[in-house]
Amino acid sequence: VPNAAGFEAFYRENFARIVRACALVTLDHALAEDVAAESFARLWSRWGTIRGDDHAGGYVFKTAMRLSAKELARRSHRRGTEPAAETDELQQALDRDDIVRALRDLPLRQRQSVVLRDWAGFETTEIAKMLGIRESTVRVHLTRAREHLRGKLRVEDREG
Amino acid sequence: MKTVERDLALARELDRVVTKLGAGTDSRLRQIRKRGSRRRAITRISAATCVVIFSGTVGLGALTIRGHGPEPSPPGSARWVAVGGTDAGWRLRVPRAWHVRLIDDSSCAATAVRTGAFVSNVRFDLHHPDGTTSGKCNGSRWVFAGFPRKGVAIQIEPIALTFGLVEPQPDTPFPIGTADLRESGGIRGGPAQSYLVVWRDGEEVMNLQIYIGHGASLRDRSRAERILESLRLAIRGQRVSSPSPTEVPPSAAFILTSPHMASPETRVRFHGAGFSGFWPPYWVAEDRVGGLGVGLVREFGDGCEATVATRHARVRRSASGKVAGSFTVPAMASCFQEDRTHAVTPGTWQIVLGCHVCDVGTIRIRSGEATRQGSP
Repeated sequence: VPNAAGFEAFYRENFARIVRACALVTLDHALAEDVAAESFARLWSRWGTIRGDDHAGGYVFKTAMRLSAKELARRSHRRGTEPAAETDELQQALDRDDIVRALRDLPLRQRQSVVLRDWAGFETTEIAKMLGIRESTVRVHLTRAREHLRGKLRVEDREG
Repeated sequence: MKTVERDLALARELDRVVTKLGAGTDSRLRQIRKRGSRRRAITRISAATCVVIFSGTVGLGALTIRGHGPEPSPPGSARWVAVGGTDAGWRLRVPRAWHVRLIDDSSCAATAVRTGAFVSNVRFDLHHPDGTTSGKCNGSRWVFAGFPRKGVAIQIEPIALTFGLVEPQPDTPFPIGTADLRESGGIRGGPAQSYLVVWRDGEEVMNLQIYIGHGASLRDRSRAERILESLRLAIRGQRVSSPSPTEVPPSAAFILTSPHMASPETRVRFHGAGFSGFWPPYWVAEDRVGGLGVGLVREFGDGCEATVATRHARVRRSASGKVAGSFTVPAMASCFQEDRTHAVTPGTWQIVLGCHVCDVGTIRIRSGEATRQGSP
């Protein structure tokens, strides 16, 4: 029987972090919460087989990143056929932020790389495993993403 | 490889944006656990289903393999019946709807297999050129004219003559598959033919043939394969009539005739040498000489391989392997495996002993009156 108390503790400690990571990747608050919830549901379904918080953290981040990519691809495919959903205040605040606008210009892999490295603090080797790509590719994504973000933010600062 | 340093300024910027997100975790926890539990149950059911399917497949495979064992029972065996038995020397299973014709060859079988069978998906009148079926000791000289295009048949035939010219072979492994049979050139205007001589204990014990019409369905071909796989020998490979005559290569044996040229009905004498070792007592006793004991064979341009047994053949052999004998030249021959006859016409004919490919000499046939008529 899986240890419910252990899972609950892990959940309370990490859920918000996963929601934020997903929000930085998807740039959609509602979607980020859904993806994070689904990632934790999958973690709970395997809780008895995953040992230790480190492994659980890696698993839930990896699942969240993959689900985010999948949902974004699905959304991109449906775009134009469905009306745009109403946005809440948090989302409106997100949309107004310069760095969110700069992130929106980045390709998904670059966004994932910079969020996982600079915001979440994962090593490039871990990111490569999570995203299923080579470490050298992660480095390239990271360099390009940073150049883009720094450039954008500097321009915004000057304009501001 | 050294990892890329974190950009802490960028990290702070990113953190600032999302710092308000992720509140209200309690409300989601129950829902998450419910979904996770359902997912776990589905995973377990899927795994159990896979195990059941895998076990079933393995079990079915094992049963199928077991079906190739000593007691074959093809699928749907309720509609299959057993044929043969200890008396016949073999047994097999055939679909109930197929036609089975047992052929009594006990009078000329040279091995413990005494009864033949012709199993076919269509009714077909299998017969010798003279219209009879049993006791001809003819080594597959059956007429296949008119065999249906959709026809598939398996034929079991006792070894009629043991005048072997090949080395003893290892025991034929069972089950026998169609891939074990050797294709012949087919029968002119008839079905494709494959054959196998079954060996047991160093003896040839039966001829096995499969005939497949050019329009035969895959289902019937498959059934024929299963019939073949069900075949089992019920006896040991003991020779009934003579010892195995395989010690001397056939090229060492020859005969010369006197006269060199003869017309039909002429009595011809012959003598020869090189018959040491493989000359079976079977041939020495006059009353056992028959069938193709001494025969004439000639191939004609119209596809007829004319074959005929000589009349009143007598053979004697000395201890040193020399032979002497006589026969009367017949007037008519039959085309091998065809429903046709052919006159013994002028030209060179091969003299064969024991089987229609065991040629040991030639004789020139000419037209005209017989020079020396009569029985021996």
